[in-house]
Amino acid sequence: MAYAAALAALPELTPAHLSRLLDIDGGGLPSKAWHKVLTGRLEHRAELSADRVETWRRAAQSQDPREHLARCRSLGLRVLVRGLPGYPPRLARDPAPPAVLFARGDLDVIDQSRPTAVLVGTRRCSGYGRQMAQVLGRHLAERGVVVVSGMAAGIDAAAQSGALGRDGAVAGVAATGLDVIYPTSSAKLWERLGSEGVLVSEKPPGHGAVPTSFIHRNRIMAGLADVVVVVESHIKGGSLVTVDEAVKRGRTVMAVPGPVTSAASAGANALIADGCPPARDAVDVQVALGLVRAGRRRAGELVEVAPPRPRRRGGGRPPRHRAPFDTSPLSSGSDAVSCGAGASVRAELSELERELLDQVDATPTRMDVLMARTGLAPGELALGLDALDQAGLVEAGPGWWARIAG
Amino acid sequence: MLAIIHSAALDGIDGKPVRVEVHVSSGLPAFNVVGQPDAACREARDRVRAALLSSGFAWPLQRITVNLAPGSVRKVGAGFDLPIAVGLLVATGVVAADCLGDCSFIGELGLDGSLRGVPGMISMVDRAPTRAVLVPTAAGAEAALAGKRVQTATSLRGLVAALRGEEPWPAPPPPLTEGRRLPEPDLVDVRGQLYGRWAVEVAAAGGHHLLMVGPPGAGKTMLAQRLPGLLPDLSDQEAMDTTRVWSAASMLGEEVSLIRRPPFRTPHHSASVPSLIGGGTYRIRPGEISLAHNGVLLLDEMAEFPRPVLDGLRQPLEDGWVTVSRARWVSRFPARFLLVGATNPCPCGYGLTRDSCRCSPSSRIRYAQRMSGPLLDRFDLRVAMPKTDVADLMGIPCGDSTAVVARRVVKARRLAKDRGVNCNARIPVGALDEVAPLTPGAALLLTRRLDAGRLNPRGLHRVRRVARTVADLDGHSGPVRQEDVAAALALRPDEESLRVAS
Repeated sequence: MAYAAALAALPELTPAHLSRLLDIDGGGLPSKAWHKVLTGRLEHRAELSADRVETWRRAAQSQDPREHLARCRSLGLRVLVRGLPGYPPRLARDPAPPAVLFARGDLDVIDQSRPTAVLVGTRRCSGYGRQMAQVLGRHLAERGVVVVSGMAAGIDAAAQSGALGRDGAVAGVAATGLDVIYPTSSAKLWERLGSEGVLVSEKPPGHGAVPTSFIHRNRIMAGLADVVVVVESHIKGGSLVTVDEAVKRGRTVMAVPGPVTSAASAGANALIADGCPPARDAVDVQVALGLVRAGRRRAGELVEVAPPRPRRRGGGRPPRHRAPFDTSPLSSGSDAVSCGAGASVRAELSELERELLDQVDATPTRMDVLMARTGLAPGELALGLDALDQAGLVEAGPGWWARIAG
Repeated sequence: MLAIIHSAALDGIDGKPVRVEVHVSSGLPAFNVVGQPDAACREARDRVRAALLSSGFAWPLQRITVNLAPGSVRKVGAGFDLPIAVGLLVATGVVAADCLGDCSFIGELGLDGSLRGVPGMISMVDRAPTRAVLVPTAAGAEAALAGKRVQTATSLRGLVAALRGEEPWPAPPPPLTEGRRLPEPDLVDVRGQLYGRWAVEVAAAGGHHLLMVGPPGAGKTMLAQRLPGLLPDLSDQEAMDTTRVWSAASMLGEEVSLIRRPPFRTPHHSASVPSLIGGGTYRIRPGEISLAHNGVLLLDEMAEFPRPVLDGLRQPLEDGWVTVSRARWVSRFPARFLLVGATNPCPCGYGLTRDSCRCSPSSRIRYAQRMSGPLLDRFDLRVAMPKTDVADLMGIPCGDSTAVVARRVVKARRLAKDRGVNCNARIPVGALDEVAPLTPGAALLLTRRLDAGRLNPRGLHRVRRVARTVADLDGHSGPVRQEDVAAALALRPDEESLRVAS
């Protein structure tokens, strides 16, 4: 393991290089490969430039593999080598598996037997994309689907924060070394994933964020997936790299349909136009995973989307409705408020609040438009909107309000 | 032969009494000025000599020493020309010492013997150690504002003639306490942005600092320009304080009168720290925040201001004055102003709704970080103003005019005055329970927001003050109601929701 960690830390090393070193020079054994690097007598040096062999040799001579292992241990990381026990079988079968994998947390999460959904999407997401990622992450986790995402900001972070804390399985694939938190704003999420789920990376500790490492990460995500769901993607987005990798591996790709006017959904909508099945809610994903029979959704039934923050006014008991088409045996005590519950929440509103709710559009409605439409004084308007917000029926943005679907 | 003439110096915006001692004795002809004079002050030697000769007086070929006492005060500017010249005339016997009476002299001399005004006339006249003050005619109206007896003269010759009693004194100018009122932009011009208009009304009524965030063309600047028009006239004391600052900065212009309307200052975002806060190399000068004393300071494109400039505002915003310290001098300037900030949400300007923004997340975060948290915290009102649709511009009726809104503002301010504060933004924390008690519903709303961690204790006080203003605008002087608090909370959204970058 010490040698594996040291090999992975060689300078200017691509995943392909590492794979070749391990297979050809080591015959599967990192220690053997390390000694070949030390002497510079690599079996496949014909494929490499002399400079590169020399760089590696110098680097290897100046380093002690045991220090690499000690560093990983002190960071709480496990080092896994392809072909040796402990390596996730799901990746072992992959056409381009990482030769060495660093992991923190419970590796059983990415066990072969569990259905796995990879949620991907843009870092520059819209409120809609964030909401969808959170809801999908939460519902899939609740129904026993492993939720995998890429540790980036935006959709990735929203999916994982939705999935965490639901007694489900969550995994994250990082593009940097596991001690290099990127983006730094996600520090808490990294910590939670390491303790409540699993965090993996093929990059050694200390490896920073470089553009190529994200592309390498996308390949691992595709390798872990049973199904890839594109929540929101611009027309040219990194998520589409993951899609390509998934298609190469024959995995199902789904996309969440978005407003056709939204640039952030252009990539996802294009995928649907190309024939990808749409992922409207967790049930669609479950159907694609073969967990639920298709055709159970009645015509005209609304898509299951719960408000991101189901809060109730006062101390009343929150309504716990079982979603009408929730057939997953693993689901228990879901706090999702389905469309039916939305109606009952509405019944509890005052006359004024109901009228106000009718004036709020599903798209952002500006405050001054609400003032003009309702004719209410700013104080009454603010009070009414606060009540609707407490009931989880509307969401606030800077200077606007929008009705939450459901 | 010694002559002692009373005068005054300007230190910051305050006047300081100064004795000009002129000593003429036999010896090698020389002319020295001592007592911490600056460059302009030392140049008085040349101006005084030329002015005396042009006015037909003889120049004494003797040893002349001028002392500006007390020596501890720095003397800045050309205002001592006149007292030095008068001192010389007295010392050489052209004018008898008892002709001067109880009078101080302030003014600059032209080479032809004419008299010219100097900056800070009001403060200097006010602190002059005599009952009457003689100033150049051009500065007569300004000097008269200080409330002392003012005599004027246009030239050194005329002055000497009047002092000797050969000619009558020209009539002293009346103080102009009411200036010509310039037209102010009217709120009627603003179409749409009902919420922004209301926020401006609350800001005017309570003196709350206002931050407007919105894309280009949303009407932020337009609304901000109409805020001063909503404020009531300055009281006598306020008008005097503000005029004094403007006088010291020599910003009063040609037609000098007391500043009755709240000043409105809009420094460009290239402003330096000294220009905004006060300072300077040769002469310490009040900054924009002091020129906006008792008025409105608009920082348009606020995020474009350098961060040290913005952070320099924090202390004056709390205290209402600023102390400018340099190696050689320290000055304290009044700076109680209503701060209005206008900024785009992100570099491209369209970030209020995510879809239309073209900025990268990191550039948005960098942009948001231009304004520090503590500065943002000082804005009681933070309003996000998305752009109005063109269709709405036609459909939405015009709102109230400035005159109508200003009447509501005056009423609300009167309620605040009855409680003993100038405006609600200045209610001390200790008095909140007394002047802005909460109904049970209002208290519940606040408790819930506190429990949710969406309000900090400092924010709590600010929300309560704004709620008081909202109630006052509604003509409600009893305990603060639930809807007032809800409106105040809506006017102070979390920093995070304002920084859509997150």
